[in-house]
Amino acid sequence: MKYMLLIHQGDSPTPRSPEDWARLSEEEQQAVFADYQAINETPGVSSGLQLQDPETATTVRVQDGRALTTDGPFVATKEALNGYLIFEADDLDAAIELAARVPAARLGGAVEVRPIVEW
Amino acid sequence: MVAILEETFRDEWGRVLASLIGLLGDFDRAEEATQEAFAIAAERWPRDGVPDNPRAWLVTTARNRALDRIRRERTFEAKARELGVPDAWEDELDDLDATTIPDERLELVFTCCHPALALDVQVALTLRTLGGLRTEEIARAFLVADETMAKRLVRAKHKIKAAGIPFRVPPAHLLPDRLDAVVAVVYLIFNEGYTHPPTRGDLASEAIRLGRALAELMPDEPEVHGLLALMTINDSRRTARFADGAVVLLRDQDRSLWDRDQIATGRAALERALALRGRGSYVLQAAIADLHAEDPPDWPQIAALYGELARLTGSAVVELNQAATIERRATPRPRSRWPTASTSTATTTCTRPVPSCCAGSAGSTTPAPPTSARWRSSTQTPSAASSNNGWLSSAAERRSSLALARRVAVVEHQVVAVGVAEQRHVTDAGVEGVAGELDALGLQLGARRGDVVDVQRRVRVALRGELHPHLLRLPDPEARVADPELELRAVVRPQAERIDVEAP
Repeated sequence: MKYMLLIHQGDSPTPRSPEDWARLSEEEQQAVFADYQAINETPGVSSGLQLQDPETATTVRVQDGRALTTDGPFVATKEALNGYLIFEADDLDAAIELAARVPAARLGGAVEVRPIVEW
Repeated sequence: MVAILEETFRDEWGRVLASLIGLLGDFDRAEEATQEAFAIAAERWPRDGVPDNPRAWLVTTARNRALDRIRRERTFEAKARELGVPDAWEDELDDLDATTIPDERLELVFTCCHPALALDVQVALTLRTLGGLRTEEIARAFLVADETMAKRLVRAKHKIKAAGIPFRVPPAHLLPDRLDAVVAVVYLIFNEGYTHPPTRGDLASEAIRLGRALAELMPDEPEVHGLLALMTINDSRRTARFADGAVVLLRDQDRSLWDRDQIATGRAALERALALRGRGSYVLQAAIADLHAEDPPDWPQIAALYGELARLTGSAVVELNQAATIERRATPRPRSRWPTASTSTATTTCTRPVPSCCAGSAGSTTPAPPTSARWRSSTQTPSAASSNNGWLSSAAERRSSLALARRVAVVEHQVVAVGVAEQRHVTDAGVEGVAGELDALGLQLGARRGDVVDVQRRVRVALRGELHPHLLRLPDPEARVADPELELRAVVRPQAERIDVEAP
């Protein structure tokens, strides 16, 4: 089965916000990098991509044939997607275990596990 | 014949369905085939007689039906590969007997109790698949419409399939977490049978069977043995519990009707749990149930165990039971060996005088903002004062302890029932209204501020839908306090009663 792991940073500190990032000790910061690297090297993981901040998003709607754009993500900024990866696994348990290793999940964010439709 | 069929349905549904799911890897397909097999049995067995091995017959028939259906879908080749059906499978059908059918109900129960499913869904699904309850029966237990429950079950089965929830007993590193949910669900099934013995008695036996299987599978897990002990000891009184359709209180039961073998089995399981240093909620409840089997019961020890249980679970119902135990001690029966000396550590505090005019009307009044001086300064609330090893010494304290526990349980029950009935679409204002009532109530009864806040927190959680499965099926407040201490029914009055608190 293929799963998409949708990574929501929520309140978790990231290097993009130096002030928040500094809340973590150096050891914790290193652990975050190491954990993401280990996840990307896990067999079955592919297409792991990090997105730019939700503030950089542009949301497009079409009304009466015209494209209307709004500044920002479709959902609230705090709830916006920050990254994702695809994981090919035997079952949901394996996907949950991988999701639990994503640093965002333990630092105030969350990871949503969604099965991908396969034809 | 209808009765035999009904009995077979109860006995075999879970096993047959589990076998089919194990084979097909698909809940819907398996359920469909199992239902078909039971329907064919209903038609043929009255005419041709019940086969020697009903289970093998049902599994074989269900397998055949599933196979037919898959063939009809014309993509059999692809499906068979996809589903992992072995090529030689058809040849094996004739050789089927009961010994070749593995019991896969544990796989099924762990799948149904998977944490990726909401708690109420776990309970419903387990009752449906293993317990063999009909959708409308589960709906009744959940206080929701049949249609709502049917949709819930459909969504659950869809999620199991679409999200890839595995059909297996979890690996060792996942087992402890998964076990808690399974144990809670099995106990719920037990109570479903235990509290409705004429119609659902099989479920109690079914739950005990499942509990035994869990104990075999996880021999080093004390809570599983605790669960088995609790269910077995309670079940030993099943015959004595009902007379002419009415509940017989524990103290009035004919003890000669108790199943001594079951009590012995239950005690063995309890001893195993204690030997494993078990001190979880099921072990404690089993120990309490066991102490009740003695004549006369050891009330001080029972109250102490309730104290431990209350600390562990934070349950108002447990506090209520404990308060009632204390009440029992206060009104001893003749010939009882009651403890004579008070060992209280809470006797120096007095409850704050409460004008009787405002007692029992908490819901309609807005309390003055509580200040620390108005709250009990004791480290123990009246209702919790007897936990640890202490006893309440003054009659007034006993009364207020019991009254608070009663009211808390009653209010909690009411709000939970309302929350469930309205499918938990409770507004924040509603939640805060209830919290306010509890505040006023605690103020009147002189409860410690922190404990009232704690009860409010629990009620908020309950109202906002994060219900523990034990709270899900609560037709009346008595049910909360029903087992194993039925005698407490004598103390606990129905919810409508006003409880007036006298000034000491």
